[in-house]
Amino acid sequence: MIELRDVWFSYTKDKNVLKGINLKINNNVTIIMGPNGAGKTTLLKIISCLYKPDKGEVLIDGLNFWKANSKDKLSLRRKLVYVHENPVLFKGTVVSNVMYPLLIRGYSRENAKKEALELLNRMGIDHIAFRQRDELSAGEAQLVAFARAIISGAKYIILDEPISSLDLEHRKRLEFNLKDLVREGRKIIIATHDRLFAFKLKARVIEIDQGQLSREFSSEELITELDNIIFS
Amino acid sequence: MALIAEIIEISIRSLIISSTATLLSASWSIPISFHLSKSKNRLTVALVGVLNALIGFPTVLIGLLLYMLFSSSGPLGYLDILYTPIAIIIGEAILITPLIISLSYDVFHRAYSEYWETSITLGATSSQAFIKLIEETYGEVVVVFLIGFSRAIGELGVALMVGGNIRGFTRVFTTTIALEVAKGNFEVALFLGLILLIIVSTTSAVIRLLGGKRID
Repeated sequence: MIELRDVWFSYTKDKNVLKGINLKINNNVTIIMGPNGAGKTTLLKIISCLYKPDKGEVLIDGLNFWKANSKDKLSLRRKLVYVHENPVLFKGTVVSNVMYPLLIRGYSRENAKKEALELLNRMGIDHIAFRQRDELSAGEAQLVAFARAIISGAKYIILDEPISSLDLEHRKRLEFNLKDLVREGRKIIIATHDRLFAFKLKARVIEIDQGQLSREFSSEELITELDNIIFS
Repeated sequence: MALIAEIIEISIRSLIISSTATLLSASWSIPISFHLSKSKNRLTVALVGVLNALIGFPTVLIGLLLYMLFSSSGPLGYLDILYTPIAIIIGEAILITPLIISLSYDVFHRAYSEYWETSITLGATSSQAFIKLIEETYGEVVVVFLIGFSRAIGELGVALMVGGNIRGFTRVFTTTIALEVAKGNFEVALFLGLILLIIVSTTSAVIRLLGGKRID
């Protein structure tokens, strides 16, 4: 479980982006929604332990990340993987990008390549395996970043606006892969504006506004609300 | 023939001194700029501002300060390195330090939020993430080195004041040109100037070539 206790964060001294967030994340899929500038990305980066809160605690499976020793920190970090809205791919081919998390965990190049190709095949994007990063469309780059996150083996997969650049076909593929990950017991945390996407994943939905949690509901409640908006 | 041999010797010495100074400066400037790029506090921003201002620090002033430091009555006089190539290397390395830190800070600052964060979130250790950052910014870091080298090889104040322009020992391009002009040997000075221009232009061409390959 990921737990945030009274988390505060600011980029500049005069404006707090997150204001005393208390949150427990243990559902299969958790969706974070909110208007632009509400603090969704910052919250995801706090959850991913990429940003250190100014105040408060971030507990990953019961351990306070920012008070852990360097060995524990590395093992906690490896439980979390964050995929940016505009994913950053490294120089080289798609397969070399997907191999990276395995190589830094001590896999041989041969084994890492084999596993990377298998995953790309399972995800239905093996046809781009040997393309360079600058030959990919935004949607393809997003899927590659997602593949690279999956192969890391992290328990918590944190995705920032994962469907923003995806067409319908790629979107369906992503939903399918996410459901697969849930079956494997991995926890997904997503920031998105898309209510239908949240509904399809049967997610717990958390709404954030001006740096504070404003409400929480199930995906069914979300879709009922959407129905009311459409048919009223 | 003797003149040509001397010009070749001066060229080789100038290249060795300036290359060594660039590598020496990079050995501390790159780690410093990397650490600065990780920090987001106001002190760091102020420090980077000061370093930017120091890029234009007068070379003769650095030469003077080092002369006072290395002269026999100075605090480091016991090292006995005044009027040696080592003194010029140290002086040039200090001269280009603000330039290398400022330029590489810009490179690392941009790359930090991209490559460092991505590597870390994928499970890399700090050293693995640093290696990835260097791999990704390699071309740009080389450009920074070459700009530093161009500045070092073209400076006069430090080489003259702490090198002493000793024939066959500390004489480099810029000090030779200054000497030949003083002697009225404009042909030799112009010829040396031309070689210096070719070296600096070639360096600039390489910079543009590598800069053109930069991947944003």
